[in-house]
Order: sequence, then C-alpha cells, then structure tokens
Amino acid sequence: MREAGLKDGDWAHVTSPHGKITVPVMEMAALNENTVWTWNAIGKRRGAWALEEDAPEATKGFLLNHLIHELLPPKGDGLRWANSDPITGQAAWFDLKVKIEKADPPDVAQPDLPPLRSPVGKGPRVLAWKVGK
Amino acid sequence: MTQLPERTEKSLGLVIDLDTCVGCHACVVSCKGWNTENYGAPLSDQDPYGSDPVGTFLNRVHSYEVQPASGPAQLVHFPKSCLHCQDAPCVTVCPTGASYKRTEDGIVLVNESDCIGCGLCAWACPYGAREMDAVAGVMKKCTLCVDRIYNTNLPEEDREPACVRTCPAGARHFGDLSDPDSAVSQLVAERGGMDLMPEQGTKPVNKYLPPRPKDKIGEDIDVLAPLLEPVAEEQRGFFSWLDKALEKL
Repeated sequence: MREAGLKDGDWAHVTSPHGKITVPVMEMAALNENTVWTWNAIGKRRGAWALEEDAPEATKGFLLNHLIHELLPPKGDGLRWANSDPITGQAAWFDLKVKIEKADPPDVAQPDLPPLRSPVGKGPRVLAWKVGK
Repeated sequence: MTQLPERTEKSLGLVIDLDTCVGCHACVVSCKGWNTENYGAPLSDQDPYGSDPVGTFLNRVHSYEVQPASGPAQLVHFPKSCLHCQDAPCVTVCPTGASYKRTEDGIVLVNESDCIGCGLCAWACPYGAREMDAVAGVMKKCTLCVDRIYNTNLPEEDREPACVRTCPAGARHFGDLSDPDSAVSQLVAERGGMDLMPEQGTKPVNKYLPPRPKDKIGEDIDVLAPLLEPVAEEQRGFFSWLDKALEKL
C-alpha cells in the first residue's frame, strides 16, 4: 500500500484480469504485505436489502465480485469450470492477483450500477424492535 | 443522590479473554437480540437503513491494531460493556434513585420507570458503558441478563448472559467473582486478570485476561519436539515387510 503511495482513507483502483473497482482503503499492519482483503458482504448494490440509496453499504461498501469471473479460463476440454472451491463451493477469492493504484476519490465506490427497485419498499427510519408488543 | 450498598452477597460479573476473542461480534448481536425483547425498553436504532445508522447497544467490540517497534503487529479485539463496579459512580450520581446496585448479587441496574433520562450517569461512567435510548428516553445498560440467569423457564445451560452463551470462541465467562474458589476467580488468578482503568477507583467486578505473548520462530523449542525425531534408522517389523512386498508388486 505504501509502495502505491496510499494512506488510510485514500481511494484506490483495484484491477484484476476480469475487472476494476474503485474503493476506499486502509493499511493493516498485521497482514501479509502482499495481501489485500475486505469483508465482501458489507457492500450492497444501491436499493438492495431495503436500504436507502445513500446508505454506506452502497456509497463506501463494495463487492469484489466485479473482479472475479464466475468461470475458470478454458482448459481445452470443451467445458467451462466454475471458479469456486471444488469442496465448499466458496467463491475463489484467495488466489486472485490484483493491482492497486491511487485514485481520485469518486462520489461513491465504483462501479456504481443503477439502483435496484426494492420489492419491499425501504426500511423504517427508526427501529425499536419488540415482537408482540 | 443514590447510595451504594456497603457490601453485596455476591459479585456476579464477566471475565473476558482478550487472548481468544476474535472480534466476531456474536456477543454484540445476541446481546442486542435478547435485551431488545426482554427487560425494559427495546434497544432502538436510528436511520438503520440510511446514510448515518446509529443505535443503542449494551455491548460493543472495538478492534485495535498494536504495532510494536519491532516484531509483528497484533490485533486486539476488545469487547466493552458495563463492568458492574463495586464503587459505581453511575449509581451515586443518579438524582432519582433509578440507578442502583443490587445487594444480593452486585448487578448494577436501571429502574426505567424512575429514570428521567438526564444522562448524568453516562457522564459519570469512565468506561462509556451506558447509552441513552433515543426512542425510549431512558438510560440503557448491561443487566448481566438478569432475566436469564435466574429464569427457571429456561434450560439450565441457558441461565447465563446471552453474550457468554453465544461466544463461539469461549472467550467470555460468567460467575461470582467474590468467591475465590469460583471458576472465574481461579481463571483470573491463573491468567493475571486485570481491572480496566483501576486508577479511577471504581473497583470494577468484570475482569479482562490479557493476550498471551506470541510464539517466536527460532526462540523457544517445543518441549515435545524431541519426541517427534525419527527413532529408527532402519525400517523393521510388519509394516516394513508390507511396504517392501507392495513395492515389489
């Protein structure tokens, strides 16, 4: 990260053979220096999960899925194999090589796809949850 | 102002192991789930689906990265909730008597029908363990799941705080810290359990077990290592014969 001139709170382009995302980054010292990671599940497309369109899940959260093809490169056997762990089916994140480079901060994390139409509307503005009361 | 009891019959509390806590937040979730549904007002959230979500929690986990001058950095995951202090400043500051410490087990509780939401106790608590609920307008805090630990409608194994019951790492322990023979007291003695900010004079009941020092490559040789050395230079016995026989095939 320091090699790329990045510091906490900067934004970076993360590029793989399959795609590119532009996301906020932070340095983690207790990590192998050649590894980047994220919580993939905190990113949500705008409008998904009954979230408001300016929810941080959509503006700062992001998905690595844009970097990872669903299929492995052709092996010449006429089949296209799923790019997932053969035992668990877990998406293959752990062997993906990426390039990171500093980016001008965009308004929201990229790619910014058009919002989904929520089939259940938006969530409540205030939640005080008590079942049966 | 509200008085503290001179002594309590028991000192129920938590022992939290900072060595094994992995910061998964399962205790935060189970705490919020149990305590929004049970004792007192629900734990509300403001703007939970919007741009600036905040809410009331009785237990939070903060993670810190410790980077020594030399050697590898280390993560410390730090769960924080009410420490049920023996000399609880949140009780003595309460103008209505809503905050109190129970004589029978030492749990610090808020009687919500007497709480006027003045917030003095949150100012007095040096640990930031009390949170005002924005919907109910009353002070919320850890109850040590008082509605679980004596609840005979629950199976016996569930009669402990929700955070302890759910912790997948076994990093949270519940018991009577006034009894030197209790499992939690022995754990504290064995692992050097610490008070948080003892200089505040609050005499917290909850204890924290410090992270164990990390192994270093090339320094300490495992006492079992000599036993892993190969003992036979030449192969002998039935398996040796089988190995050779199979190789010939």
